[in-house]
Amino acid sequence: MSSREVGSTVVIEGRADPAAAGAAVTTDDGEIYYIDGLDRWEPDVELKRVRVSGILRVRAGSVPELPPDELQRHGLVDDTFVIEDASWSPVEAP
Amino acid sequence: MAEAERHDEVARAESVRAVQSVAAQSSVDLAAAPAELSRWVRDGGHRRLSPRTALALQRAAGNRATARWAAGGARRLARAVPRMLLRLGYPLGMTIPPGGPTPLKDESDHREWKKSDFHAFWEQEQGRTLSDSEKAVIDHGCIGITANNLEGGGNPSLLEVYDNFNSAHDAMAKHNRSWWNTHVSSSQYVMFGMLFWSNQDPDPDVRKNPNPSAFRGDPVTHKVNMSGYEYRRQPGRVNFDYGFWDESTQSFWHANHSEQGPDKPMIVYQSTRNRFPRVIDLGGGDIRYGYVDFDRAVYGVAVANNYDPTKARALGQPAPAPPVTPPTPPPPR
Repeated sequence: MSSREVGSTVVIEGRADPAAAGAAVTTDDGEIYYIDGLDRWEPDVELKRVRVSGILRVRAGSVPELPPDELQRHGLVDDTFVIEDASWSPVEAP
Repeated sequence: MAEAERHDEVARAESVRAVQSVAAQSSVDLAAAPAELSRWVRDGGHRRLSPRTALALQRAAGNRATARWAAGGARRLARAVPRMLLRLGYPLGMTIPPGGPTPLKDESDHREWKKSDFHAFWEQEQGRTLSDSEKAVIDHGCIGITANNLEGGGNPSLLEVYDNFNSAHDAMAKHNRSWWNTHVSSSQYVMFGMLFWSNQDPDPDVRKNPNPSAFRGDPVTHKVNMSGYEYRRQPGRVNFDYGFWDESTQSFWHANHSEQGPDKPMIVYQSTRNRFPRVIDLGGGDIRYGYVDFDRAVYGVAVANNYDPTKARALGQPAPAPPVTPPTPPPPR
């Protein structure tokens, strides 16, 4: 997914991952997309293959990268892709 | 006065005299000594000392005076006033009684609490209010909860870390049974869990993949050398997850993330020892712990200089038994 598609409706496919920053999809090439507003996948969906459609956004990292001798802050350091208004369905593994 | 009390009085007075004598001989200004030590001398030795101050006493007075004073410690402890009913929240799986706080989420192995509820649990249990600076440390998220209890700030010490729960729990209990900890130090050893990413390469592209050989425990001691750990995350994922182990409720206290304002508040998590590092099998030998973000689960042991676990007692439960490692299935490796 390129940054040119930010703001557009996109369709992605990958593994439904339980991630610390919320439900996410990891595509076969390792790209990570968080599902806006969804903390966790339902148990019957988790780690299954899903197809997700929604509007692609970029979410800024929420904590700074700190030198190791400073008290760290818990959270996402990197900017990440988020799918807004997402809908999803299970798909068969390729 | 009973014989034991007379012995205590004599030992205390001897220790104070020894400190004053050594200070006079070596031109040590006790007024410039650690404040707690100065107070201890002023008060005639009638209080327990933190490890730091006990070491200062040892340096000033020598081991013998310190040991003589400390010999009465167990008896003094036994005469301590009856403890209040104190707790760090409610055990998981137990119904919270009417009038108790309402968790944001309530599952058999996991609860989620408003940060203000966690503050209240901590203050009720420890018998004092959290300062603004302690609250600011807790605001760092999971790492903040542990950091506050250990030293009131700074990253938790990673000098003694094990690759499984039981080894760390045994080490903690052993430290707390030592002569120093039963006679002199008022601080207890505690333990915390830590989930993180094995690959700490500075290059994010290299860091995408796990490092299968990094941060593995010694096969005999189960200790993990954390000297190469730099708090680096798997790219695009959360940096780490710390959980402070609470013996009284048999749970880890951790968090969703650091405090990020009213729209993204810090929420405090309470999870069982199995839920916190739950095993996620991605196939092909790729095992993650807690979330897909982390491929290592380790357990640190450290002194709690800003938290007294002996005050912990879960609501509605009997007083905690001495720490004994419970039999459990093999921990995640």
